[in-house]
Amino acid sequence: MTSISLRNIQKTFGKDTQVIKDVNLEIAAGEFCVFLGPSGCGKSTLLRMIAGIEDVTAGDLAIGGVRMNEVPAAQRQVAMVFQSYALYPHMSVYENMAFGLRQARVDKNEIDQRVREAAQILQLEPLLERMPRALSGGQRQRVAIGRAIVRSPNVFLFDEPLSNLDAALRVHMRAEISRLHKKFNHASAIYVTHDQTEAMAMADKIVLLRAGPDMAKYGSVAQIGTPMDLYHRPSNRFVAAFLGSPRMNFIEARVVAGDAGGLTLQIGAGETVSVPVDASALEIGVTVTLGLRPEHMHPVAPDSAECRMTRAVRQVERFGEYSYVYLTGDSAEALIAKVPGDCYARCGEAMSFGFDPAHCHVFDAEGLALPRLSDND
Amino acid sequence: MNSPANPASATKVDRSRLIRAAVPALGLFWLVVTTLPFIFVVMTSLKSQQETFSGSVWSLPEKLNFENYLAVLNGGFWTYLRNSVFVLVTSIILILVISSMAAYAFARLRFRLNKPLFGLIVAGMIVPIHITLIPIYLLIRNVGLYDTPFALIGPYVATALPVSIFILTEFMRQIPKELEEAAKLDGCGAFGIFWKVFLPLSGPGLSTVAIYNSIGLWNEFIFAYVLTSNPANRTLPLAIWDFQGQYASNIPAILSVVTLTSLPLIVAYAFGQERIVKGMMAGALKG
Repeated sequence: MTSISLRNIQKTFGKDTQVIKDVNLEIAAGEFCVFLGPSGCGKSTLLRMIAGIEDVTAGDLAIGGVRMNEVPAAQRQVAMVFQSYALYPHMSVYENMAFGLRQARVDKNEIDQRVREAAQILQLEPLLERMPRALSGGQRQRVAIGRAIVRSPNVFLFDEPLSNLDAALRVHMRAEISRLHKKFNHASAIYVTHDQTEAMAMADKIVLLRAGPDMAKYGSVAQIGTPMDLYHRPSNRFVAAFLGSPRMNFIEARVVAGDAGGLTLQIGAGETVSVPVDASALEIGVTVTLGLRPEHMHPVAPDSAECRMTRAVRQVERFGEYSYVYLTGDSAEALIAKVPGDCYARCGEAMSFGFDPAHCHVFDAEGLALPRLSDND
Repeated sequence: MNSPANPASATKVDRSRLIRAAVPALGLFWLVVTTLPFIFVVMTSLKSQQETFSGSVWSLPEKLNFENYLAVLNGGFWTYLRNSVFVLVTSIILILVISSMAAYAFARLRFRLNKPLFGLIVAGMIVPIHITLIPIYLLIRNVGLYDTPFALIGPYVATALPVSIFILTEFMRQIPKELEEAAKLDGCGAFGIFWKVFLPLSGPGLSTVAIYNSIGLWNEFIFAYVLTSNPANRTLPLAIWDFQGQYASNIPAILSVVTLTSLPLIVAYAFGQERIVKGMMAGALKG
């Protein structure tokens, strides 16, 4: 059982192009950790540093409690599945899977046994003599995973392994990888993706990374936690916006009243809402941002007591089971409500919505979430 | 409803028709330009010496005269051929080994003088070999290799290396970096990555280098002429010397030598053509 520890990890390319800043992270033995973030946030670079194919500029990287900064990739007991599969084109499936073991001078019979075992698990037995060019995308992906499995590593590293597959195969392989991880649960897994669905579906722990000026200001890590933590308790506006599709609605609001026991906000003409967050740090009259997920808005009659917001409908997208209703917001950006598929909504007409204030998030001018008084998720 | 005739699109159609007609015509013209000299060589080699002076240049032989070929084959041809094959095979092996290792280093290893060194080697391509003749002659004589087949191997390898390294470096740069990283994770060092991954994947590039250099070295005349003197040590292009007198040349016999010398190359090209084209095109399109 192998844990992974990252302490103050930094990565700079050239003299001053910093891509990773202040990453502190503990990945427990057997845990499935997903590095998630937008393009350019350094998630693949971080993975490659753990693999040993990229140097660590500063900080300490430990695998199984042993500092690994200077240890060559082959001696770290890690196996990696690449986005492009990286199968050796001149070797058969069998040779591809056996290559690492041959390099480690493992006994021939044992190599054969391990390759055939992995092939059986991944249903690759009929393909063992084929060359990679004669395989489909999904089969190549399974060979790449098989090549990792045969080495019995302590850590599995996956670098966007599903991004070259079509949607249906992606869902299938996602479940397959999760199943395999449970089967080999002695090994930790780190999985890089920019797809939040994959991250939510597979992760025990998500590390959400950010890019650009925010990375330089606050560090690379936006938030670490379980998928539900990040979804329901985002620590800042970036996390709240990144997770969820459609993304969270952000509404400019003015503080009407607030203290440690709660906050009252004005979100439109005559529309106020009391949110159970600790507002002791806020002053009356300042502007904050109210965050509300589309699925937490439900249509109500305009004159009902539940009505909290009335807006004109700009566009309706129907998907059968549910519809997205785009509402005219305060800014150019529309508010989106997710409503049942049979809900009446028509462009140009006004529509009223209610929501539970406990589902609301409030972000200060810096974009940081105000502490919630209770968690009902 | 049909749209009215568009003059611009009509011109476009005319132009594309013209191009479609011009391409085969130009191809045919070029085929004639490249094949005619060879047809002339083969035809004249089958004439008697008398006929070459009396008849028209393009006239067909009155009768097929193979005496010139017999004279060539009964002369020193086989010795020249043996020397040519020995020099060529040794040179090509050395060129492939040295250039592939250098290309891997330039394409993938990070070291201090990578770019300047690569630039310097590539700049070697612009040095005319004729200006190196005297220093090479003196060098070869001083090391005691003058008038041996070995005298040719050093200069052949040295002059072929810049272009070979250039071709293979560009080829190896196209090999995905992930393969190198996967090999690193599988426990390969720099040499292991080169030997087990890059070299097998560079097959088309190596073929290109081998065939390209073979053509040049097989026909090479000037170094062979300067660095060897004994007929027992000379290569095929110098076989024509046997039929070059002080006052007259046996033209049909010389052209028989040229025909026989060209044959192995033509056969090699016929079999290797696909590989040459593949090698030249490698990396041009996403595979």
